[in-house]
Amino acid sequence: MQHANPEAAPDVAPDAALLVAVANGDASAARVLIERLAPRLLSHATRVLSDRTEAEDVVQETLVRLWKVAPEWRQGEAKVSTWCFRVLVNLCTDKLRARKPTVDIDAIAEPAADLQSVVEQMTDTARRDALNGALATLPERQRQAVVLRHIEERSNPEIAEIMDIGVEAVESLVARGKRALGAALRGKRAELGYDDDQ
Amino acid sequence: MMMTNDAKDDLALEALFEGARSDAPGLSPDFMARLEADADAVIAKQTTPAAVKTTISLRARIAAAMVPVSGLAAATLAGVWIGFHVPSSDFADGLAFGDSADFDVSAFLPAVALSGFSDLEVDG
Repeated sequence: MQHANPEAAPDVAPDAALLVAVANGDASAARVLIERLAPRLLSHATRVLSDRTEAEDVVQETLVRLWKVAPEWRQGEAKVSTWCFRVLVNLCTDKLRARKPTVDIDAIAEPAADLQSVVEQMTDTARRDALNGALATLPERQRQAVVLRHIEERSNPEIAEIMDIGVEAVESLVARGKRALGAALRGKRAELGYDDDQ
Repeated sequence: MMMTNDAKDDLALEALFEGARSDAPGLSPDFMARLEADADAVIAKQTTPAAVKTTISLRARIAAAMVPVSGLAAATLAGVWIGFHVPSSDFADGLAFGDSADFDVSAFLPAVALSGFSDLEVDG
């Protein structure tokens, strides 16, 4: 059960109730929202942008916009987290479109060390690098949709709202993104430790 | 049984996604401090006297707009009350107030309605 009064139990109050408290000048409500939202926003931005500094910048900008919109927030119109992801996705899009496409999957996905001798150590870091490298090769919309669906675990209707497209378009983007990821990773499968016929 | 490439890809992808989900980047103390400073700055700006005055002004305008609505609602309720509380079956008798044909219509309206109308006169 969720408490509606953010002053009574700020850690379990709904995001929207906390935002109302922020609008009323409650800085502690803002801190709870930061702790709740920022890690997920930063996770998405980091994977999509492949640049921690830029990711922090867009998260910072997203939350500033949230505080500014707090006094005019209309209850029940959108989830606070969905609104934030929508702003974040657009900011990430702006960042990506301002870049030149310079990503090389082989340069990123190939672990620096000798795989034969560090199989045990390879796991987490190598897999993370491989995934991030492969994600970076996807077109921007596919990348955002795949990360939202399979890493942030957002529903297709919510992704549609975040990306301002239809649910069918989301399904198409995710499916094409996964196929492209598979193609990029297929040659790396053995290196990643997933080559057993299970 | 051999798996197809697509099935292997799905398996590999799902394992990678699962690893990524448990590998969310943490917030550095410096970054947290920046986020909190932003929040404090925006909140402070929004709760300055000028910002509060704007909010009050908006509320006052909404309240002023409600005055004629409340007066009309009170008059309607008065009419309904009369309709249900006339003791006699003769409605004309109920309106006659005994022998007098002269009466003040404001007697049917509660005080809130009158104050609403008087506010309207002042505003107008």
